[in-house]
Amino acid sequence: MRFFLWLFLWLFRWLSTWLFVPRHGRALYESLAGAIAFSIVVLAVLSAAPNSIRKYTIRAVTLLAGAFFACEFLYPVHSMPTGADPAHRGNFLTPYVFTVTTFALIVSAWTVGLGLLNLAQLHGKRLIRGGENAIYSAAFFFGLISVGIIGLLQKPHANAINKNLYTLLYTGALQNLDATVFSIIAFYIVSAAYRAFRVRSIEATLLLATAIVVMLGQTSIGQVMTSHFPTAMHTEVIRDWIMSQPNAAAVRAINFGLAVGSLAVALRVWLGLERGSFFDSQ
Amino acid sequence: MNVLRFLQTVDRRLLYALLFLTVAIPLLHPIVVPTVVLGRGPLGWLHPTFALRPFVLPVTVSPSTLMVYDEIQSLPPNSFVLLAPDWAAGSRGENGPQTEALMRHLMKRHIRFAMVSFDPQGPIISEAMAKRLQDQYGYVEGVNWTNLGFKVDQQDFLKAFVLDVRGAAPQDYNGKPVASEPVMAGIRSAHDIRLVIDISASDSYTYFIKFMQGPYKENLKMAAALTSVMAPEAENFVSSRQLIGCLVGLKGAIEYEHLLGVSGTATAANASLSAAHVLIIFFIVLGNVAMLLERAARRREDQE
Repeated sequence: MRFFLWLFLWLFRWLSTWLFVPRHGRALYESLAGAIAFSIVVLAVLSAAPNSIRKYTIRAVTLLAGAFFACEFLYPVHSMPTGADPAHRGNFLTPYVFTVTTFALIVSAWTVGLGLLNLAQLHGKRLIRGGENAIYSAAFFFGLISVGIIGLLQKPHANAINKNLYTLLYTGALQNLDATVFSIIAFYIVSAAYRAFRVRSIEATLLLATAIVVMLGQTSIGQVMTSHFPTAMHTEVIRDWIMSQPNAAAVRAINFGLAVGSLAVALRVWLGLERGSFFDSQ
Repeated sequence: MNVLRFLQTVDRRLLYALLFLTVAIPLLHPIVVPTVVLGRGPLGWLHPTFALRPFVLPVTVSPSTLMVYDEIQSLPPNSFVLLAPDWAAGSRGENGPQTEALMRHLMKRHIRFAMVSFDPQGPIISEAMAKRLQDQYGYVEGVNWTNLGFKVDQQDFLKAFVLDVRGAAPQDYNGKPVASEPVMAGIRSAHDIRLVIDISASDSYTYFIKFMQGPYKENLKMAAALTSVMAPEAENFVSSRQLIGCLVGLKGAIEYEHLLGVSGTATAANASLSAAHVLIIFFIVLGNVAMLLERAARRREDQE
């Protein structure tokens, strides 16, 4: 057991000193090609493996990663590194946190790629099938390819064309589209608030009164309206009290419930007890 | 009766148009109010003078905003602050002015800062903002501030970042090695960071609390600048002092600009913010009054 632990830690030390160091020039491209080839092989092996093996592999990786972070967090912590004393590194597992989290970051980055593949598959089928919604799928491919290519080109080849195209697509189109979509919500909120906020019961009346006070307290005009009243009746003072007392109490209660629920779900996922997963439906 | 029914079912397109005008007009043209000043004429008689003066709404600073301001104000010059602009163009209306006001204060106080974002748009927007402000305060990229760029997974990144800042973010957004930048001198772990400020439209500040502040107890101070809808959830963290303060929405940015004594994008939007809220309240009250009057009229009809 001690040997396996030693081997495990040695492997991580080796990985952190050799694998995760910045590379430049040819070495960078070679590392990239190697990493992509390795990942494709791993994915191909996992895809070809029977469900039972995949299921246990994923459970084992989840258990191991979860155990590492749990042990690292729960094991007594020594002083952390500082600018003056960078040698202090928490407990004996802390030096490996960087390597394990780098693995997790790589897996997260791969999931983005997987999402893109799924989207491309879905929109590719729609585009081939045609129909009135095919134009949206074409727009997806246009956006993905153009932003992707220009985004990749504009850093290593920062000429005027690439920079201007990048500014046009990113600052000119994407940011404004994002802001526009979000701004439209304001219009829906006005319409929904006008229709939904009706004093049909005592609870609804209380909610409406509170909402009006909070809204007024969040604006300067509300402060002007109550500036001649005693301080305790100023909208901003009442708003601060509502937010820091009744609101905080309610949010705290919700957070306690959420935390207990999240802990239960995390334990189930960690120990592989979660039902209704992909493999169970197979 | 028909009028009362109409007041309860105003066409949504009319509401949209009114909201658009309410927000746009004060932004495009400052509100002016007619004022009468009594002055003395050449013969010594009192006579009124009419003038149009800009209407400036008063600003009262909330304790939560003031605490953030005081904390930055108390930092010694050349301290290091981590600024996390975790927002995209969608929440620019609130998070944009907040980021600008906080950057202004850091630059005014000669405090070094690094920016790291967990939203792909964050580094681009915030870098443009810092570049726009830097000349005004004599700041230089790489010397006084740096942009560490976009990071994929906030939880895992922060776990690595607290232990090894340069290892987790070896290069800045433009590919320069962080270790060679004077702004990062002496910054090795989260211990060397004096303050973390998360500017966000989500609950991303909770990850900073869990993974950065958690292992460091009260040594690492944190503040947040959130959109109005996210701020109620942060009240607990402010009351527990895990957050030293919080800028709440556009109002928070207006208050901060007021404290800094500058009139920026937030102050310019103050009248629009107030007018839009008054419009919403007006229509809610209108709909309710109409509903109650209709009910009373129906009750009278039934009794008759």
